Amino acid sequence: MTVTTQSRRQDGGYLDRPRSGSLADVIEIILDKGLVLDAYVRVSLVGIEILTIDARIVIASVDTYLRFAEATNRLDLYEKGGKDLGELAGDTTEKGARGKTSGAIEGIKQAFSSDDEEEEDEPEEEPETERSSSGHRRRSSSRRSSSS
Amino acid sequence: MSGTGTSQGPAGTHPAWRVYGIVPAETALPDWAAVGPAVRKPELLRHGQIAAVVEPLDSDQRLGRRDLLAHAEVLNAIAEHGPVVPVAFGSAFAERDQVITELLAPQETALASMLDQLRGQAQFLLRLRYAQETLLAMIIAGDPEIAELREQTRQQPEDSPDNIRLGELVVRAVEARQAEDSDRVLATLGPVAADSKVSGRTLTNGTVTLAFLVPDRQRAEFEAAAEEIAAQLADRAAVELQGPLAPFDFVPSL
Repeated sequence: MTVTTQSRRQDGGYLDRPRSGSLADVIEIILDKGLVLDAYVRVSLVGIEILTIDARIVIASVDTYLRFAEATNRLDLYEKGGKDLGELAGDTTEKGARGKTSGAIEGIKQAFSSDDEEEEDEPEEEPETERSSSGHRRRSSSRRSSSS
Repeated sequence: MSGTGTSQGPAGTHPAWRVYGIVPAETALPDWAAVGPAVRKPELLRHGQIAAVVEPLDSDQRLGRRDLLAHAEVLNAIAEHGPVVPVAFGSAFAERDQVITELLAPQETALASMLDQLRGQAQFLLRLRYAQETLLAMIIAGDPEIAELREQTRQQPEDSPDNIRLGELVVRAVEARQAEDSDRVLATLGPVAADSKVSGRTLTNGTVTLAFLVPDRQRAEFEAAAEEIAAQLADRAAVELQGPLAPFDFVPSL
């Protein structure tokens, strides 16, 4: 069961209170957030390495539909749940009015998620090591945060 | 811990100065060693009533995973003790002095007023992590068209038009249910917060994140309400509450 793995709970309570988030959570919390300084005072050298990493190809919505159809068809209604949306529907990203910014952000998220834990200055290919010691579940690197 | 000039080498040059956030000038920075392993040694650069939390970047350094974690850890640690305006990750100035001449000096009044607005409040994130099988079962049970299509498509090729239609209906139903739950959470917790909004929504891994700006004096009340919401949604989602955090979702624009 993956949706309830994190942290301590208050006695008898339903609410999880994780002390700190997983990397994916941190990315969601801070990326694309905060005070944006005037473009001309921003130094591009800092962000450029991240921004030029190949943006993830955004999967078309039909693909998303098919994955959900498959998940729905596969579902045994008499079996009690366990897997979460990411596992069942796969690692998809909605297509939509997100524009190129979204692609860049996906790229950043993927870049960070595939970065090695210890050597953040090296581009890493090796699979991530799960931070299982802290009970955090590795989630999809394609998390998309949207403001609405 | 605060310091001006401690990281400036004899040559006095670093290719860039990273900016974490803006705080009141009288802010005492936390003991960074205790904050987290990702954190280096950010320092304060003061100007008038405000200060920037800055750190030099070396020429061969590019921002990576550690820097991202550090950005969150530094700002969240500061937020535990006082107001902070988080600056977007990746912001930097070429020269240390530019942080003053191009950011702090021209924007002192605006930034000080932002800090005043944020004083005595902190951000909390409420995250709903849906259990997909449970959610899909609820959707099938609640929608005859989906239930029927599901039966019809079982023997059909994977990419049949009916399958696409089924998926489309299911996706819409998932979105509708998540939106309904979000509205319910915002309606319940909004009144015990100064501000609230949907911070992020990821359909495919089934998480919805809601952000709240909570006054310190209402924190206990807010936490109790969050506990209640978690109980109400327990049949379909695990609910997490994270905070206090820096107000990443509630920064006014300059």
